[in-house]
Amino acid sequence: MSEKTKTDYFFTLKLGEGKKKKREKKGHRIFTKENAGAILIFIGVVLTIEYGFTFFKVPEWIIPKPSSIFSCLVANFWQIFFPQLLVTLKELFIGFPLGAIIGFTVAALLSEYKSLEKMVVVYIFALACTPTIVLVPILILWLGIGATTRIIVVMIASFPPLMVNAISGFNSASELRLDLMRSLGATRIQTFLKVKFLSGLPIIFSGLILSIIIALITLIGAEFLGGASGLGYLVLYYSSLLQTRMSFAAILLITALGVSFYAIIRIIGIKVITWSE
Amino acid sequence: MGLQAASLKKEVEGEKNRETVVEVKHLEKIFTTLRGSIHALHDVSFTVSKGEFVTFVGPSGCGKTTILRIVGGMLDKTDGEVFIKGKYVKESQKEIGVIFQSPNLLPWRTLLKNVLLPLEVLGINTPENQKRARDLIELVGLAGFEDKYPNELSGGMQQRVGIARALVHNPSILLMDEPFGALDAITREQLDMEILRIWGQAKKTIMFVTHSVEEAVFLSERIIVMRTKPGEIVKNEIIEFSMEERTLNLLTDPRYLKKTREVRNLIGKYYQM
Ligand SMILES: Nc1ncnc2c1ncn2[C@@H]1O[C@H](COP(=O)(O)OP(=O)(O)OP(=O)(O)O)[C@@H](O)[C@H]1O
Ligand SMILES: [Mg+2]
Repeated sequence: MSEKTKTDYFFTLKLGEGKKKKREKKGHRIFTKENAGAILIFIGVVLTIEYGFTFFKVPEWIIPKPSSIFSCLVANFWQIFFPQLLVTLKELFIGFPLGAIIGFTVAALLSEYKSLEKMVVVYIFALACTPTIVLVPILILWLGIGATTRIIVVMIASFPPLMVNAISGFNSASELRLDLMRSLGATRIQTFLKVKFLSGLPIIFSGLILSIIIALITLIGAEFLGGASGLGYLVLYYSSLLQTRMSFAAILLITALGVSFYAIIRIIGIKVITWSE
Repeated sequence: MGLQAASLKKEVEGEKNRETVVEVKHLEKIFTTLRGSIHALHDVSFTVSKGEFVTFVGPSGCGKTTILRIVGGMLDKTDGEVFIKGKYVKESQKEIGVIFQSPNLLPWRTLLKNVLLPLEVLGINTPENQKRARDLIELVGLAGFEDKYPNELSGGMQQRVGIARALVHNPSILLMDEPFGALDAITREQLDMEILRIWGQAKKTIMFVTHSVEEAVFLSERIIVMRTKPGEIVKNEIIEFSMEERTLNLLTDPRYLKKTREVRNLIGKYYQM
C-alpha cells in the first residue's frame, strides 16, 4: 500500500506525523478526489433525508428533516442547549483530568514496581473490561443525583483506558535504552522521565483519546440514568415528548463534542511528538 | 611454541607494570525464563589491565554480551565477583562508557542532547563538560549537525554520535558490543581506525566484542576465546602488533594474514555445536 492510500487507525497516533506532514506539505492537498467524495456523500445523505422522507411521508417525529433539526438547534441554542452543554462540559473537564492523573500515576507506579504489576494485573484488566456505567446506579444510591456523582463517574470511566495504555507505553521502552540508562547508573526517576515516559508518549496519547471518548459515552449514559441536566438528559427528555428534532439537535452537539475532543488531543499529540523512531 | 613463550613473557610484563582495572572472578550467570533456566556463563574469570584492548570472540550465544552487561552494571550476576578498579560495579559507573550494537540514540533528542545525556544523568552537566561534548562531536566529524535529530542522520553518523556519547563523561573503560556490525565494510574500517585513535590518545581500557576475526586481530592486544553451553573462556590469545603498526596497511601485511589464520583455526573448533 502506498503512503497516500493508507488509512489511519482511529485511535492510534503515528509517530513523527508532525514532521512528515511538514516535509510533505507540497503533496498534501485538501482538494482531493477522496475529500470531494466525502462531501458528496454528506450532501447526498442530507438531501435524501430532506426530500426523500418528505416524499415518502415519513412523519417528522420519527425522522426530522435535517433543515428543521438545524433551525431548531440555532433557535434554541442559547436558551436551551448552551446551558446544558456547559453542564456536560464542566463534568467532563473536572472528571477527565482527575481520572487521567489517577490513570497515569497508577500506570507509572505499576510499571516501576513489576511485582506489584504482576499482583494486580488481573484486576486492572477486569476493571478495564467492565463498562463503568454499571456503577452509576450504585453511585447515585451513595451520593445522590448530582454533579458530584457524574464527575466521579467520568473519573472512574476515564482512568482505566488511559492506565492500560500508559502501562504498555512505559513498558515499550526497549531493553537497549534501559541498558543505556543502567550503564550510567541512572536513578529510577531519571530513567522514567528521560526514557520510559517519552518512549511511551505516542501510546499514552492514544490512551487519552480512547479515554475521553469512553468518558463522554459514560457521562451521557449517566445523564440518561439520573439527574435533570446535561445534553444526555436533553436527548432523553425531548424523546419522551416526541420532540425528535430537539433530541437530534442535542445528539448533533454530543457528536460535535466527541469529534472535537478527539481532534484536540490528536493535534496536541502531533505537535508534541515531533520525532520518529 | 615461540608464540606461547612470547605471550607468557608479555603477561608477566603486563602484571609488573600495568595495574588491573577490571577483575572478574568465577562469574556465573543463570537466566531463568518461563521455559526454564539457561546457564549463560560458567566460572568465567579474567582481568583487564589499564589501557589494554581486549576482544571477546566466540559462537553466538556464548555469553559475550552477558559479560559486558554485567561488567557495565546493566545486568545482575548470579554468582562470582566483579571489581572495577577494586570497587563494586555499581560504585564505578562514571568509569564506564558503552557503545552499543545499534546506535541506540534517543529519537526525541537532538544529536547534541544525545551526547549530553550521560552528563545529565551523572549530574556533571557543567559548561566545561558541555564544551567537551562539542569537541567530541567535532572529533567524530559531526560538527554542524548538533541540532539534527537521529532520524536525519545516516547509520554511520548515528554510530559516531554513539561514540561521542560513550566518551563524554571521560570514562576510563569502554565497553563495545559488536559496535559496527551493522555498518558497511568501509564505514566500519573508518570507525575502527577512530577507535584505535581514541584508544591510543586517551589511554582507554577497552573491552570489545566482535564476530570478525579480522577485526579482532586488527584492533586488540588480546583475544579472549569463548565456547558455549555453558559460556566459558577457553583461551587467551595475545596479539603483538604495536600501536604504530595498526594502520590500514596492516590489513595486507603477511604477518597479519598469518595471525588471522592462526586465530581462525584456533577458534574454529569452538564454533562446532
Ligand atoms: N535476558 C535474557 N533472558 C534469558 N536468556 C538470555 C538473556 N540474555 C541472554 N540470554 C541467553 O544467554 C546466553 C548468552 O547470551 P549472549 O547474548 O550473552 O550471547 P552472545 O555471545 O552475545 O551472542 P551473540 O554473538 O549472538 O550476540 C544465550 O543462550 C542467551 O539465549
Ligand atoms: Mg551479543
